[in-house]
Amino acid sequence: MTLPYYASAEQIIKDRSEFSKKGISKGKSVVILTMESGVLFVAENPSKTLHKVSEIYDRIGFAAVGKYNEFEALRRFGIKQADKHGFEYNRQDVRGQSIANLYALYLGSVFTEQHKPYEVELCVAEISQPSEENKAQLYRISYDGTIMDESTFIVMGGARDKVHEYLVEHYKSQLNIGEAMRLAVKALGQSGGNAPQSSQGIFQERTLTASELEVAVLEYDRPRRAFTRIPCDRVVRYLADKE
Amino acid sequence: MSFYETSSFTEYLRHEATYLIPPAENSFPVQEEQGVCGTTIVALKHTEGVLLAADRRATMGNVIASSEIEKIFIIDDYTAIGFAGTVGIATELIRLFSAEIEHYEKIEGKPLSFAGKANKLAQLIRFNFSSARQGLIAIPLIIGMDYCAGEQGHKFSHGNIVSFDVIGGQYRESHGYRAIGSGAVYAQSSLKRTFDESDSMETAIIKAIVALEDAAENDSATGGINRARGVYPLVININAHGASRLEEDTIIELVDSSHFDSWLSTQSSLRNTDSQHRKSTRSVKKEKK
Repeated sequence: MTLPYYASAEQIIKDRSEFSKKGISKGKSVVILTMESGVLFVAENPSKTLHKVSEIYDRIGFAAVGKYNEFEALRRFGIKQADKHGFEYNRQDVRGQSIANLYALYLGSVFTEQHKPYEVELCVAEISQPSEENKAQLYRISYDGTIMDESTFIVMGGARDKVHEYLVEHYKSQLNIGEAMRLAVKALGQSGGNAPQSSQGIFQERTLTASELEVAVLEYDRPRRAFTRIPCDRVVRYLADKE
Repeated sequence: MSFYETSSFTEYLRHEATYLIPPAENSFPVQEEQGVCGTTIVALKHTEGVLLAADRRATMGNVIASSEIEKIFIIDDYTAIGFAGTVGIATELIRLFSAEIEHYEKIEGKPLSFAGKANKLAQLIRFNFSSARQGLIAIPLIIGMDYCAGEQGHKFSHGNIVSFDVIGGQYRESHGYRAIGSGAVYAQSSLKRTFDESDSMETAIIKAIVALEDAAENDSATGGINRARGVYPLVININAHGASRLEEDTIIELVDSSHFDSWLSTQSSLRNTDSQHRKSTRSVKKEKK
């Protein structure tokens, strides 16, 4: 087979998009949803050390799916930019939107200019400052730099559509943390994970346990640094409705 | 985008935004009085942990620039720092140091050890040396606790106190107390006689404030308690639950107690307190009639 002398821009973009999408769907899903006390992150992640969810700044959190080394580099970049901005001006001058925009710009340029696009999808979540009215804002940034803002929930990675469908049907705003966590876990369970699929590609519903999850929150009530991880034993109690 | 694969915030700034950190070399002419300086800050270990106390005076030569200045700061949950020297330099270094510590924790996913923080601080002081030679000195005193995850939750090491010299040399305190600043000599002499490692936090606070009062008596750059204007020393305490600034009401309660008076009194004033005691018993007797 001879290589084509010419490939249309459309074709190149399509190939790159497919490449990235494939990489992202191979992994496991992450759910980010807004709730009464702030923002909840629930990621299907069997590792206790290689995190998919992280703190960026006082009121800003980060979640990602896809290739670990790629999103880890982006996580570090986001933290450095946020810290530099807060140091240069003021802590309250660091906004989620500017971090999300930086990611969009960077991913956009990587998508077109680099040999290989990043196989990642990112979420930047921000809650309001302690002195402001409670408000949460989510941003989703795709592998090609497309950015969308959301105020309810974001699902990324793995069998995203199944999980998303479940949340569209069952999500309610202002849930408490226990309710939100149980909802997120039920939604994540809609994706088959590594369970064998039937020939029609129907996923079996699973019940995920706390040890398979990485859970963190951004809480309005925390005085400055809103981000905190929920340890496994507390997740167990929330899922059992005993917290 | 190029970003540096380092966990150090200062290093990152040095490569990406040098304008944000103090210049490495400067050629300012040496001036006699540069900004505000002079202070007393004491650190003291006690059974629950370690504390830091500082006076509230900032001086510029013979002028008192501020009588309510804050010289000690909480850096993170288990570390606090006090600075003696030029206020502008101290503020800059504290800001940079706080950003450095928090940056590391966010990038690496866990905080630095206390020794790591002390080393980093030493480097910042070293980096400031060329300014220090021109009179813009800032010397810190850092206290903190290391914590590590144990089987039943966190276990804590004892409190640590580390002091520094102008070139960044570290001195880990083994006697359990340390003071820095122009009044340090007087404060340390006071603590030499009063310090007891088995003291409770309240007693340790009292002894720290007594040391500050002793320094204020002899050093014009150190301010004492000013009840008339409601100015009291600042105290930060670190124990197993974290670092916290003491409420002013708590400090007032402690300095108004007789426990404080008995530690503050010297040989020459004992005679006076004796007569005061006699006066008070006389008035009690009158009431009983």
